Amino acid sequence: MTNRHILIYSPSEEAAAMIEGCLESIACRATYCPTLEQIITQSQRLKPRLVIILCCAALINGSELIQLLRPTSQHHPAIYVISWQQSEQMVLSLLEMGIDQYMTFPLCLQRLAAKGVALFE
Amino acid sequence: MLYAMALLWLIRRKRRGARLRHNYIKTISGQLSSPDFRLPIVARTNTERRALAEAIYSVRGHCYGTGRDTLLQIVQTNHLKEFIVNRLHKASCTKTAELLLLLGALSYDHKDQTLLARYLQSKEPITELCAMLALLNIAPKAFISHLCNTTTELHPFSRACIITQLRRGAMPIAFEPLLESKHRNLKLLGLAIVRSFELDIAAKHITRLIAQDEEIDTLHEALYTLAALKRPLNSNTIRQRLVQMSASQRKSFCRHLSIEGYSLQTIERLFPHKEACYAEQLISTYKRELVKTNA
Repeated sequence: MTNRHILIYSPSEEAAAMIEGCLESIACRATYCPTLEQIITQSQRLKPRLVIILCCAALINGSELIQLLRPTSQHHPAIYVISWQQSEQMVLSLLEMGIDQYMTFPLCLQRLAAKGVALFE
Repeated sequence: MLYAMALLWLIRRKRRGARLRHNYIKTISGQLSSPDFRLPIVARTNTERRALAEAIYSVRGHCYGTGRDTLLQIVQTNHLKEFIVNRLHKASCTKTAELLLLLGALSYDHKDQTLLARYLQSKEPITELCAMLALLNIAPKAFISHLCNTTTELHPFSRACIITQLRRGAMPIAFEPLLESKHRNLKLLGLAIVRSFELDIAAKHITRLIAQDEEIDTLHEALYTLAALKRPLNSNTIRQRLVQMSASQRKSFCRHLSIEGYSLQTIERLFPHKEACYAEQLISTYKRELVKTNA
């Protein structure tokens, strides 16, 4: 059975609820984690297919969080970052750290749903 | 005892509202994402209507694209606009401000701008600001007219709030007509847009503004905007206009240029020797701090 788990980290519960609603409409199981410790624990337990981080502050220390989310070569979830930041340097730094996709707010929910569908196919 | 019970009731009501809002946001975003995902969204009590209005405000603040018809249907089915207008008549101060923001998110008809007329003249700054933000959502052209006609100066905080709204796609970002306008508020807004969106192509408009504008506040903003864009500042025009600023404003600008990373040579060309020495001390302090951090 395809693993359709998605983890969402966000300091704002409302933004996370919006992404949860979008992904659950395409038959995924989205779990919201309000803290970084929780998302690391849940990632090890659930082995999600996709991790969505809704702020850049979580990655301010560099690729440490990404290494914790991808501890082995066998478990390699896709990591999307969605944020209000539009600075080119910030986006390039995040891509160099190893994230798979960067999107800015305001977000097109249909586009995010389409990306989710493409990832799980 | 009564006080504790009242507090407990308030906490429970707030938690219930947050839970309702959370569920409504999930359902609305599910409907906007997938046309097949259809769940009726019904709000029967005032608490539910308020939570639904806040959910729509949150979703509209984070999303763009299709979904206008879906949201309009939800608003009409649950009579949310009428609910908010009714509440507005009874509210005061900060509650009025919150309700105005919600009205801006729920309204899809530009005729609703008449509801805001009274609040745009409010003496409470926060009420006036929230009415302007609601007007920006409902009728962007009327918002620009209001900025031209108002005598109140657009405060930096107000400008920041307007820019936040513009980032959410409230209206197309056309800085040229704003910078070329005769109205001070429009010029200040144009400069804030250029600064916020880092529009390098506006540099020549700003240089023209620095050369021609008489107002010190606009000059002040234009210089800071040019520095934020990291544009060259070594022109006679800028040097001549700097002389017209007060000593404290010049010192503040000198400090800002040092922090923005302009070289000492550039600063020495713009300011007299005594004022440039202040920049030299600052830059040396920053360099010493860098060495201490790296050691």
